[in-house]
Amino acid sequence: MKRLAILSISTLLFLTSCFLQEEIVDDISMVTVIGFDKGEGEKILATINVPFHQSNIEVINKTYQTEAVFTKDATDIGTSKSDTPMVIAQNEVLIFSKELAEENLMDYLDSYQRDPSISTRLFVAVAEDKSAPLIARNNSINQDIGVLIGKMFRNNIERNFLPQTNLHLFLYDYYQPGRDPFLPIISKDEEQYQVKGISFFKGATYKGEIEFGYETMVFRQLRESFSHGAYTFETKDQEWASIQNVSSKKSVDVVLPPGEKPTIKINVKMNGFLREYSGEKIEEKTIKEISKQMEDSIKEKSTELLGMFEEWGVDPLGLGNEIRKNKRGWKEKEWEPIYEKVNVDVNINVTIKETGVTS
Amino acid sequence: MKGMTTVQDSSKISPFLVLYLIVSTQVGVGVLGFQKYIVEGMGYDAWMAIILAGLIVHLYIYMIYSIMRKADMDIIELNHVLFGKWIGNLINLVFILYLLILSLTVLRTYIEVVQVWMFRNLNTWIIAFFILLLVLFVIKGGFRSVVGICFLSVLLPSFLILTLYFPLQFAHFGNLLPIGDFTMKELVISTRNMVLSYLGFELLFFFYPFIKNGEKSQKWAHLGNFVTVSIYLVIGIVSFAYFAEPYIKEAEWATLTLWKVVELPFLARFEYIGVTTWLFIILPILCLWLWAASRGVKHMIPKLKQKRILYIMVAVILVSSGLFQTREEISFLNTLSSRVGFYFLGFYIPLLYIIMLVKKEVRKS
Repeated sequence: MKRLAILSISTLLFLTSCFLQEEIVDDISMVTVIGFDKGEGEKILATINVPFHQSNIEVINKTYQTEAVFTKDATDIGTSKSDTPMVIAQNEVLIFSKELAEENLMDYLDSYQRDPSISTRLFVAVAEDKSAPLIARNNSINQDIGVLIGKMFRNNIERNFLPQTNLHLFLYDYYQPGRDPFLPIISKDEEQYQVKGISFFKGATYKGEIEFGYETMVFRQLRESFSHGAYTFETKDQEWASIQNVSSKKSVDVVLPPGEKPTIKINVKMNGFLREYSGEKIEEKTIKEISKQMEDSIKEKSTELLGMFEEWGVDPLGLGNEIRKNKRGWKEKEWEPIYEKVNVDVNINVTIKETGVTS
Repeated sequence: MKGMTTVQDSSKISPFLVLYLIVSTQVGVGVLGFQKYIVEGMGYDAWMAIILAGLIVHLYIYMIYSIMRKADMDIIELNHVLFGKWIGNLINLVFILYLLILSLTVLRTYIEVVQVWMFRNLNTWIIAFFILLLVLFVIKGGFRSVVGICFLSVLLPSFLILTLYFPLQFAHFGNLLPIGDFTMKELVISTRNMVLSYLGFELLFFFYPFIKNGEKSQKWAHLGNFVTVSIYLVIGIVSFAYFAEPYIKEAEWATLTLWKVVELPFLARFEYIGVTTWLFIILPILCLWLWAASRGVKHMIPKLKQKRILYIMVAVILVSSGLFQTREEISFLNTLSSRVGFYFLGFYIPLLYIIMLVKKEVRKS
């Protein structure tokens, strides 16, 4: 038995390459970002980026363009153009053109969702217009652009007003009854990528978008709790105030009076830090004034946002889901359109805690 | 006959090891995808089914202990004594076949996971051969070495529970609300499907005679079942909070899908670690079940040597593992083994319990 064991283990070592397909990093083309556009007829046009790491720290981004029926075909056809097989397991970002987003993104994302090699932290984004120009012609960028864009998104989630997003969260919002997904919009200016805004979906179909900045900040406050980002706004006395967000906490109360329209109360409690103020002097009165004005302006913006969501028929805040949590035997159909069936009450509470230290 | 079944003291195990035996047989490939089946009935109230099914299993463990305490012999012999030579042997045969089918199911399902998540073109027979070789190696060391593997297989993979931290970052515990939105029928469906995940405790019938002071091990068996229930409950609740309900109904391996979100600075894909560590979880199951099956046959036909029987069984499993190729076939195998287990044990154990209650004394033939 012992001899048999030694024999079989040694054969196992020799056999490894016989029954397994090796994938060594140097011998594959690791795809880090793919952009999809509408191609001819039923086909889609894929722009695939493969980084080639040079012996110094520089990276050359090589782009391939292929036309295929399915998303996975695109990389297979890409393999025929490249010297090593293309592997998508390390894909960081997927970008879809707005044209495709207006149809149904799930047609394309489904194969990604079922692929065990894909991380659910993959970023999915919508291009401002077409996705090919975002990826192709990046000769002057000597970084892996997939990693670059991924880092940019992560950065904006951690330090700015982009709400948490990735493939998993998109799928969660897509599948969860009473919620609709959103995706970030990406654009490129010269050689610089930026988050342009947020697009909203009904099912997986694009319905509308908001701009990055104040709008996404208010949207993020209504959607989740977070603790960073700063915003500068103009006060009533034509002065400018810059407020840093220390923490923004969201909570939801649902009031279900029998026989009446239910009310969903979204409470946002924001703690801020007045960074800069263009006025003369900061007194207690001015601080109260500023926080009051900030409250009003956030409230105004949220009403505006809710109005837009109603018009587009999307529910990215998961209002339907809030009702579901509190009502047994909830059916999605009975609560559509959600904005007509419920009152939404937004309460904003801004506290300015600090104004800095004087030395 | 008598000499056959008495176990020497030197090959007996301490009562507390029963804890590891129970946990390692109950936690198998089922953990990787049980969510889909229990959500089928009650939806996200199914965490109640996890607890309820656990309580039912506690009851069964209690019954097994009452039976074995009174009988003081192993199950093969007990069937002979209670049901006569022919019917007794028939029941034994069903029991042994059941163990073999279960072993085959566990082996094939694990290989399928490896093929889907890691190596798509891996030949079933080759990997089955090496796993079974390892199993033979362990069983050859006798029951005590099988128990050793069980002990390790609980301790070593236990670090996997830490990986639940990653999906918790995206958890929506509101998914579990509203609580109690189900009907009686849905409760029954979910509980039945959950009991299937707990199967494995019936092995007590076989290894009871191997425990030193068997009666004293009952609390360890119950504790083992409690640990299993806790593992399932934690994984169940985390995956309910992480996935949307319509998604989990389609997800074949929800627990593995949880790992798709794990990201470590030095490791991009955690599944590779997870799936390979899972070998430690299925290894003791295969060892224990094949050990029990071969011992069962040896008792039925004392002329045969246990080693021979074992070789034949392993060969049969090796050959048949490669015959199940597609998802449907493997799925059929899973349904088959769980159905057999459910009906066989569901009726057999209570029946045996009642008979033993009525009988005053069980005499060895």
